[in-house]
Parts: sequence; C-alpha cells; structure tokens
Amino acid sequence: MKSYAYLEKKGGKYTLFPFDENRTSDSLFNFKALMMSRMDFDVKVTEISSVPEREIEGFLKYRIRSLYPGQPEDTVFDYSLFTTSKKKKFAILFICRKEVLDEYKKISNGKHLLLPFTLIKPFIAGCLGEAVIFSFWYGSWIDILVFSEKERVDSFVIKRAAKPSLAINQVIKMLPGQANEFNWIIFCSEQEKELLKEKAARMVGKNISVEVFSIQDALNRINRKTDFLFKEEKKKRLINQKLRIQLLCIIVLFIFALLFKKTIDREQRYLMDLESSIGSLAKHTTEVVSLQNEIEAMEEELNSLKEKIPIDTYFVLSELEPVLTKYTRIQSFVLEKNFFHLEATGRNPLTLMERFKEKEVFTNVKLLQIVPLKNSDKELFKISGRVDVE
Amino acid sequence: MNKRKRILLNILLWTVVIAFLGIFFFLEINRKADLQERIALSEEQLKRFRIRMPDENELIFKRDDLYKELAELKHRFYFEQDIDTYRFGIIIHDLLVANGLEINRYQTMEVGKNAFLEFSVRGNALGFALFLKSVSLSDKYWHIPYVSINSRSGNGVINSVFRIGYEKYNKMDN
Repeated sequence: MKSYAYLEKKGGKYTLFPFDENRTSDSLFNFKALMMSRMDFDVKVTEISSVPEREIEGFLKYRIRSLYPGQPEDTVFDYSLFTTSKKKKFAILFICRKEVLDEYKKISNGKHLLLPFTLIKPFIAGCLGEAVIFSFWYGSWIDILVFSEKERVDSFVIKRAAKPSLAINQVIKMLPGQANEFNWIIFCSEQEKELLKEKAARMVGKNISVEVFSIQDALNRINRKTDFLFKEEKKKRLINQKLRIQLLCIIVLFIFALLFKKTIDREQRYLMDLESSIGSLAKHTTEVVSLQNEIEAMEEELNSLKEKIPIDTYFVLSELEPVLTKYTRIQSFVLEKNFFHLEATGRNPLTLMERFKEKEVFTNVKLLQIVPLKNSDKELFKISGRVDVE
Repeated sequence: MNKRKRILLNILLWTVVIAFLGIFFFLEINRKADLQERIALSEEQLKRFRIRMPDENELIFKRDDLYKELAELKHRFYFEQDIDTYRFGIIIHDLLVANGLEINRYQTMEVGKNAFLEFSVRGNALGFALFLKSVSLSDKYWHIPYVSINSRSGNGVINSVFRIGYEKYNKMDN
C-alpha cells in the first residue's frame, strides 16, 4: 500500500505525520512522498500563454522578482503548468525560502515532495471549459485555487472558522462575484468529508456542483505521471507539444511513405523474378528451337534421301510372283522407272486382275489385251501398271 | 524566435514535407502503375512460354533416333570418292558372270547427271533372279531404272536388257 506523510510545524519544529494514522512518525515509518506545509509556501499564478515552453523557467525567474519580495539568492521556486479550455496556459508558482526547502529535503531523505496543488491535475481534467474551485481544508486554514470562467486563475489562503458552516460561508464570500455556475471540489480529512458534503450541498445554490474528496482519495491518484515538486532534475521537454505532434505526423507520413515504397519494391522484386524466369525460359526456348531446327533439317535430309532410294526390281518381281498362278507364264516383263508392262499366257486373266488389286505395290493396273490361244485353254494377255514402293 | 517567425517556419516545414511526399507519391504511383503493367505483360509472356514449350528430352530422343536412321541410310549411298562408273561396271560384270549369265553387250550411258551401265544378257532365269537378289541385298543402293526380260523361247532361257547405276550421296543435293 502507498503511504504518504505530511509535516506540521509545532513549536518551531517540524513533525512528521503519516496520512493514514494519527500518530507521529518514528524512524521506521516509511513513506513514498511527503506533502509540504502550504503555509511555508507563497503560491502565485501567472499566465504564460505566449511563452515558449523552453523559455518558461527563465520567464518565471524573471517574473518572481516582481511577485515575491525575498532575495533571489535565498529564494527557491517550482511550478506546475495548467492549460484551460481556451488554451490559456498558467504557471502556478510555489515559492519559499531556500532554508525551508533544505529542511524539507533533509526530512524527506530524497523522497518525493508535493503540495496540495500537485493533487488537482487528475480532477481538473474532468472540468475543462467550466469554472472550477479547488479548496483544501486543513485544521486552521483553507487553501483555495480558482479557475474562473474568465480564464483567470487565483490562489489564496484564508483562516478557517471553527464551525464548518461558517467556514463554507467564508469560502463562498471569497469567490469572484461573477462566478455563477462552477464546480467546487473540496479536499479535506476523511472525518470531515461527509459533514462538509452535507453542509456545502445545503448552503450553495443549484448552479454550484460540490464534490468532496478526502486527501487520501487524492493521494491514491498519485502515479508515475504526477509532477512532484523540487525534483533534482526537472523533466524538461526539449520539444514543445505542438512541435511534437507535428513531428509525429511527419514521422507517421514518412512511415506510410516507406511502407508504400516497400510494397512497390516487393512488386519490383517480383517483376525481376518474372523477368529472370522469362530470361531462362527464353534461353531454354532458344535451345529447344535450335533442336527443333536440327530435327527439321535431319527430317528433310532423311526424306530427301528416302526419295532417292531406288525401286528394288527383285522386290517387285517377288511381289508379282504370288499374283500370278502356276499356269501363268511370263513372256516378257519390262520395268521402267515406276511403270511396268507384262506380257504373259495363262488362264483367266480377269481373276488375275482381282489379285493385283489386293496388292498395294501395284496401282493403276490395266489389262490391255487378251488374246485366246488356239488349241489351248490359255490366253495371251498384256497388263500395264504402276509400282509404288515406299 | 517570435511567433510570426515560428508560424512561417512551420509553414515552410509543412510545405517542404508535403512537396517531398507529393513528389514521392507521384513518382511511386507512376512506378507502381508501370510495374503492374510490366508484371501483367511478363506473366502473360511466361504463360505463353510454358504452353508452347515442347518437351526437350523428347526432342533429344527424336534427334538421336533421326541421327541414327540418317547415318544408316547414308551408309547405303556411295560417296563421290568411293566409286566410279568403271569400277561399278567391273562389280556388275563379275556378278552377272558369277550367276551364270552370258553378257551379249554392255555400254555406259549418261542420263542427265547420272551415269548408267546398260547390259544385254542371256541366260538362265534363275541365274538372273539371283543376280537381281544380289542387287537387292547389296550394301549400297544400286539402281535399275530399266529392265526388260524376255522369255519367249520357252526353254528357261531369258534375254534381258537392263540399265544399272549406283546412288551417290551428295549433301549439296539435299
């Protein structure tokens, strides 16, 4: 559990108290942050809308001279920045003497230091654009911070009346007259919370919304983003927010551009792969085409040679032999190029013609003449035709 | 730096950024369009290549078969330096005699570019058939463009006149 402490000055000496218990601290008491006494600090509010962020600190140092009467070398300050709805920027200055801060640092032993104002940032976010009053209720005094509709910010401390109703009246009287409608956020001890809530709700008009939180509630909202005071190294933003947003936009645009370029580069690589494939295929095709040409040339040469193969006379006669019957006797046979002329004697040359038809080697075979032989059953016949040998 | 200068600097910065990005996107979009066009073209080309591409191994086998067939066929043709008409005449003469055929007459004759030998022979029909068989079974192609066989005598003797030549391989003719 987070634990926080606060200091009270009693009899000229600071005493450390834990927030969650009503007992004084001992050396074993361990806390995460120390809330300093408001009474040790002078709180001033100044507008810094036109001051560039990196020049704020210098500007405030200069401004303190007119706001705080102490010697500059004996004075220390820190500040919190607030921006209102109309983009008006304010710095709340926390000024004290150096020896007081040294005392706090000694007691806190390096722990975080804070003031009640450090706690309001989580609450102000919900009230942007409206007048809002923060009041911190202590035993004998009330600390008030006003963010008015007129874009003014004020801080003041009043001595607290003994009765709560009187104290509420005191605060209402201190508010600017023109504040018609506003949110009032009260921070007080856990014991006073319900009482103040009830009294304040009864006493203020309907146009005023009152919320009451215990200091412990506000402390519970402290996180790593909380802007503690008087840190050794104050976080300084090298680049202001507007510029940061612009740079972010530019970076996003450039990232988008790079991603776009990357997709196009990927397409480029794909095209290169395709071209490389086409190149190798083209090379392969050239080889295949050359092979095809070689084959075509060989086929041509082969066909040309086959055309030169002469007719085999022995083969022609062999093919003729089964066509003729045993009664057929060749008188003469002439074969010139592809044409043959046969003169023979035999029986029934007409059936012989049928057998010629069955042989594919002989085409266009014609029976030219048939002369029956005297005193014989045979006939003299002449046949001519064509020999087709592949 | 005052506010006016800061605003001007801001405007300048954004002008530079927008101009740079504008030019960048313009160039890249053009490049993308060009790439897409080329990719579509290349894909189409690749598709066509793949469809058209015959099987190379099949072609190699075919070429080898053709080469073998061609070599075998060429072998059956005489090359110019292998033979001449006279040496061929001696071969045929000897073959006729070996088959018992009587040569009545023989002569050389030229028909076009080709030279032939014309023989007039007489003899047994079987002998002539064996001669023709020897011509058919010859290692080289011998060409008989004309043959006339006459067997009218009826005693198994035939008279024949034939022309015979040899086939030459001439690359230029092919």
